[in-house]
Amino acid sequence: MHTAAQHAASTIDPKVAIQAGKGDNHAFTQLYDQSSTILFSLALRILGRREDAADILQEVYVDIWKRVIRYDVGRGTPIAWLITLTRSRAIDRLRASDPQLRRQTLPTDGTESAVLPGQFESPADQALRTVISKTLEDLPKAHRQAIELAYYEGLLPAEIATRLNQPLDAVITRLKLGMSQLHKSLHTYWEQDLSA
Amino acid sequence: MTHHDLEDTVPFYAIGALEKTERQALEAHLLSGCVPCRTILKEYQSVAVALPFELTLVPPPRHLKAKIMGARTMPQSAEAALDSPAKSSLEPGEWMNHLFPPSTASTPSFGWVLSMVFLVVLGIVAFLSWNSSPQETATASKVAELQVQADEAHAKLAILQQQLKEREASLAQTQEELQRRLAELAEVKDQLIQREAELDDLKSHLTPQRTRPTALP
Repeated sequence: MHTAAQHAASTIDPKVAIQAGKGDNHAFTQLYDQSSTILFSLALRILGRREDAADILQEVYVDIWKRVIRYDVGRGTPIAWLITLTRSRAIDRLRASDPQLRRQTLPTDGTESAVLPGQFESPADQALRTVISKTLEDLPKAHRQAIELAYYEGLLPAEIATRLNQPLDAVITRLKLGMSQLHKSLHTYWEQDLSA
Repeated sequence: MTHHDLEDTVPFYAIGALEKTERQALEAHLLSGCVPCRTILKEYQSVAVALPFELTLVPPPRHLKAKIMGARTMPQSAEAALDSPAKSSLEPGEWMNHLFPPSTASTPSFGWVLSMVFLVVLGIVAFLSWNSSPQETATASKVAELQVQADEAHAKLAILQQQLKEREASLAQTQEELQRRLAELAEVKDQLIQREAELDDLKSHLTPQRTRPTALP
């Protein structure tokens, strides 16, 4: 019987990721079950189309199975590795897509089938969501916007400045302050989590 | 750029917001072995990968899991049609390979696999031909030898058949001669019986004439 902790994306056992890359069917299924929702949400946020997001996920998981890419504990947690891979590929696809189409499809169109916060979500993932959401909400809107454009659209500071019609220095400062605030909040959360 | 300047770029690097030249400069700095920068980078990368947890969760399509499970067993040729660029431009730079053991599996290229398969097949064929040639040669020589023996036997049989025919003809002549002799013998026997009968007649005529001339008082 599965527990909530076993379904948490943020707490995927590194052994599961390693075994999944070695052809273990059970481990691969577990890896998919634990990570696919967060990865699909990320790819959908970047690409804006469910079909494109599904394609990205298929590429990532099939590459893991076929050992084109392999998890290494030295590169952080399994979900950090998976999120980095998914984001990189989704951004590449976004850059290669038609800018007109990109404009039409963003923001996400998946809200109608979205899972409500807390629904089927593990306590570990909920706690992380709470920290991140709270920190981003506390940031000035311009800071948050700059971070989202960099992270979800792969824009460089100069491109963000152009998009928002803001001075480059202002964008750089917002990015730096926003990331610094996120770092502080998460650092505190991780220390508390570690001591608990 | 100073260490401080480079350290300031770490958060931007973590979310992929650095120009190419700045990115290369920071990667070179990290490769040089700057531990503080590596530590800070690790922390900011953790921040970056935590960002998607604030997104509204959207489950993937129900059919996607089955599609992925099926795609795992697709042949290479079909898979190639679905392949995207092998490595994303946003994946960690080459400097990461120096920090950690290579994580990408050493997957052999298709050409390399094809070459290996060709070599194996060539080896098998060579082995079979090397192994089967003496057998075929021996079999051929045996067949030729048997053919010669069969020809010789056939010739001997023909000679024996000829001799048998000659013997049969000779036997027939002997039978004819024997029958002719038997017939002559039977004729001689008949003549002998006739002469013996004539002799008996003459003996009976001579005996009464000797007893009639002598009478008494």
